[in-house]
Amino acid sequence: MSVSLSRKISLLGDFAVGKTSTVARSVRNTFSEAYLTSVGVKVDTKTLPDAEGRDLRLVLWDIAGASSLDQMRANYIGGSQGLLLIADGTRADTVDTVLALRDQAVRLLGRDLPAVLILNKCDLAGEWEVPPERLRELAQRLPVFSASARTGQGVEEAFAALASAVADAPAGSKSP
Amino acid sequence: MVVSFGEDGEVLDVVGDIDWFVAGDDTRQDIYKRLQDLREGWDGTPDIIPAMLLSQDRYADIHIVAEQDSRHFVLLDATGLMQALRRNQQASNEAALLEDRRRREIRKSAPNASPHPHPLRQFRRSSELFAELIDSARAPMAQLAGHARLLQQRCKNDPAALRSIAAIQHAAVRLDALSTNGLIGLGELTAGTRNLGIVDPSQLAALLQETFALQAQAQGIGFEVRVPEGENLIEIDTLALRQILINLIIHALEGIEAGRLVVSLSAAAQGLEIEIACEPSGFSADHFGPLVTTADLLQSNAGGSLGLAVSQQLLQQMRAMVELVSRRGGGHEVWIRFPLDRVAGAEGELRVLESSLPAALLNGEKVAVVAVEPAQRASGVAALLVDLGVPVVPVQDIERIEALVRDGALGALVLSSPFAGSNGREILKRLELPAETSVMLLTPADEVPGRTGWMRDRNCVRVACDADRDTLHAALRSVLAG
Repeated sequence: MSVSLSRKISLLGDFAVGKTSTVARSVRNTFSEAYLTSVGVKVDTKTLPDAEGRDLRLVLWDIAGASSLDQMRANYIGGSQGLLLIADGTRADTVDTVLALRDQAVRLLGRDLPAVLILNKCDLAGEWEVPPERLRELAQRLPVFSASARTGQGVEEAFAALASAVADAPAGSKSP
Repeated sequence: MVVSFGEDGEVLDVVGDIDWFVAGDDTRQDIYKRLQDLREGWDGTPDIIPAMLLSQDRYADIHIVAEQDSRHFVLLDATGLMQALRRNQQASNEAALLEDRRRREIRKSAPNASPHPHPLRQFRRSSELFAELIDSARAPMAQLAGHARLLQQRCKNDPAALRSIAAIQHAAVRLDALSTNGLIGLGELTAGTRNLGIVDPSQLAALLQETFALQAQAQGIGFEVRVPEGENLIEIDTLALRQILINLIIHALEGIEAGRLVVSLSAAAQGLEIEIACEPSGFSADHFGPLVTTADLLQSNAGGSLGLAVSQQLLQQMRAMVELVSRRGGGHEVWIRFPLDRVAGAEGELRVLESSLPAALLNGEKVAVVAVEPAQRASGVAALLVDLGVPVVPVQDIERIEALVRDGALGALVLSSPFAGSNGREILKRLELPAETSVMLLTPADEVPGRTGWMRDRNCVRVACDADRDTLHAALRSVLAG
């Protein structure tokens, strides 16, 4: 299978929303119940077909969670061609945080870029804090997926939507 | 270390030990691929990537230098620091999640309750500041060290340029050490059993060689790190060990004008032993003297070497023994022994280190006598001895100890002061034990200087009477091993 396209995707979100777990589910189909804080950045890749049947390689930069982009995180997102925004549906404030992170990223990069929002932990329905009206309002602004890294529900759909969005966006060129 | 890729992505050159960054199920190819992936992106992808997780529990600060037909990835190991940071962040994040959960529960049970105060926010804020401090300092240092490393490759035949490069590289090493020393001095990083990792002494030797050889050469002195062939892997606090070595070597280089600086590492039965020697003249006594003559350099040696003070603190936290040894040819050298509980074989499996306890004790020919008050403390000490495989006889009176000494059955004595209404030292004087008998004396805490909770004087170890289990264990192991 030949890879014809590559895109750099930055994962943004508050701490403990499930960024690393989402990548692990999507790339390796694994999940760990233990919460292990990420520090720094980890880079993984996932290849999937885009709408035109081409192989699209997503280079996923799993950036340690925070409520704002400090100097180090700002450095990581340089050159991003798409954003995977992740919030925890059982902590409503993490939705506001990730939207603020996106705004900050757009300001730093000086350009708009495709983004998909995952509301993670939908398997914890009893603790869910994002009401349907808020979901509808979010969906008007960007593609939103309720998902669970634990069960896998909604994860692949979100990645497929992201792939579709970034494949259509201009690729730019590789850094010198 | 430096990995260079050609225009088509093929590996052109690898300088240094890439295997340090290969862990878990990964191979070298996985690491190369991960590095190549860093190039993907729109114009302006970063050329400095601090704290990247390259493989399982292996972090590097990466500096990418592009040339016309090649790219050089300069990797500076950040594993120890990032693991320490992760532990700190983990505690902080868990505390914040707990607070969040409590707030939600309160809100559910009493929707109109007044907002909950945030007692843990301050903790979280300081933790984030700590993280930022480390991160902000490291990126420019990675840049500095990276360029120095590349220039070194290019100017191999230009002695004058090499001297300048050595100065730049050594400045970067010192700044890096200073940043970590600052954090340790502020109490943000400590050494201990919770930071244990596996160290390959030959890998460590290669790292030290790579870090200091050029500077030594520029100073006109030799630099050598000696490791016996086939040395075992060891389990130790990796960040602390490396920081101590870097600090002490920086300090050693400042105290040597000619000759050769030799650092020897060996994992002996009783622990990891390190010698830092200046050949042939030795170090002057006052150069490393404060390490052994002052109880707490961080508190009492303002204006002295921060690296030396921080090393002393880490050595104490790791319960290491430090001595300034006189050399036959004059001068002194530094000798350090870190206690080790376990070593790892070639396959990486850990096994308990065989301690060299006297055969007479282990085969039951002699016994360890526990003459300790109160009874609860006595049973705790006895249990530790049993764990070590040493036969134990608890006694309640001094006459019983005298009888065992007469019979030649006493191999070790653990004595509390006071015991049976008498002062411990007076009891020892009265017993007139043979010189080879190991003695552990439990005394009031203020009679044990330093922060390790125990101190050794020949075959007698003094331990604070309220010492915890780990301290008692370390002290017992030390005195029994002779």
